[in-house]
Amino acid sequence: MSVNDENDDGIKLVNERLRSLDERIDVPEAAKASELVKKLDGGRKKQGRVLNFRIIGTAAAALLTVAVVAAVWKAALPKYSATQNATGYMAEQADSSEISVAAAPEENQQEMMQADSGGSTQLRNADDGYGDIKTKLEAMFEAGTAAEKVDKSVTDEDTLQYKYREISVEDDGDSVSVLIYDKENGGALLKGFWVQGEYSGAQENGPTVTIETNFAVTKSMLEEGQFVPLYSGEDNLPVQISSENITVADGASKAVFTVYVDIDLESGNYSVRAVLG
Amino acid sequence: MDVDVGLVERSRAGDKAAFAELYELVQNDMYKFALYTLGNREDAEDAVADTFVDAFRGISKLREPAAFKGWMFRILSIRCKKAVGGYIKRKNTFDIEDFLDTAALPSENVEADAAENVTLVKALGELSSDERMIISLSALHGYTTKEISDIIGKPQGTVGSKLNRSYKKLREMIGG
Repeated sequence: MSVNDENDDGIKLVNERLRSLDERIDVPEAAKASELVKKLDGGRKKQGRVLNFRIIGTAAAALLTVAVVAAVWKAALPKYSATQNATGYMAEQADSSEISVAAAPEENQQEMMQADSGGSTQLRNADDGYGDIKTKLEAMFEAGTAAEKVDKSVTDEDTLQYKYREISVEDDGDSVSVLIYDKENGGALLKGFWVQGEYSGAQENGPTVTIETNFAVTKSMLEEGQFVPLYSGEDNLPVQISSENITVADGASKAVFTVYVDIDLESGNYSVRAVLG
Repeated sequence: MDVDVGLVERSRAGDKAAFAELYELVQNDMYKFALYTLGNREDAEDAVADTFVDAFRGISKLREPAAFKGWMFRILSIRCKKAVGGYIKRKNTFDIEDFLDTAALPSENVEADAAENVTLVKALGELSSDERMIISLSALHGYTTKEISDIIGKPQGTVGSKLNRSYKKLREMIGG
């Protein structure tokens, strides 16, 4: 499909208007090569991010302090009630201190997110104030004696924060885009890929995060090749989910084809499997 | 787009001046793309600055010098996505003033022209950041859905449907 087909008068009008607007945009010196080349010689200071560092630094310190207090407190209480109380207390603390994990610089996130197992996630929708319904992810990470309740909302995407990786999941309706960032390497992009299907959620299972999408498809459609489930390799080229990675459940009748993308949090590697249930 | 292979080679060897010269070829397009996507000058400048540094550090990964512009757009789209993620705790600001430099192009009918552009910028503000990325790459840079798919890392079908939706929304909002 050509996206430059201007036969449609409406498209032509929009394009003309956009080009007219484009000519009027003033490009500031700060965005030009002559200025940007200076960034290669020294550190860049961004006011907004400096503020974030301070806020997050304070939040992280408060959280660590509370974690120590909670650990001591838990040790002093009868075992049957301690975990429940400490977890609830920590969740309240995390909420009230407005921990902005997704906006936090990687250095401090690492301190804050010492926990990387035993988590659970819950998705819900929220209005972002711009009229769109966004997906909101609420995750509970438990670590030894304490737990952190992390409340995050992203414009039409979920960001899953972990010790080594930050995983951004964008719900595009008929597909999902996934970006994996390397938190130990300054938040550099590690991998990016997409998988087809309607986004149905993300789960943490120990060292693995599994992202799910699904399709409504029958067994016969799959067997007759009328349905070709695709995802992308790291080069962004489409790859078909191989038949050995597709499980057809006994007596499959719901005609729901679920694709699971398993991401290893330590390496950042991912694999794709599917189940027709 | 003609890219001087010698500049690419020198950039790969760590020559900052060569890379700056290379970047000059795309600097306006980079900033404008970031502005369309993020909606305000401050965030656009940050995204562009990050992209510039990322690209200089990663230019050894650029296999085809002729693909330089698309490669730069790809890095910038990732930086923009990350910035959009940063809007979790602060609202995205879509600033009309940052789009309209009234002194840039004198017009015979300044008021009507400005009103049209304000309407268009407001309409752009109603699109999602993905939709703005896609429509700017298509309408202003002439990329195909396949090329846009490669740049922003989404399936071609998704790009196509978002593009159609974006045109429809803009047409309705600007009264076309």
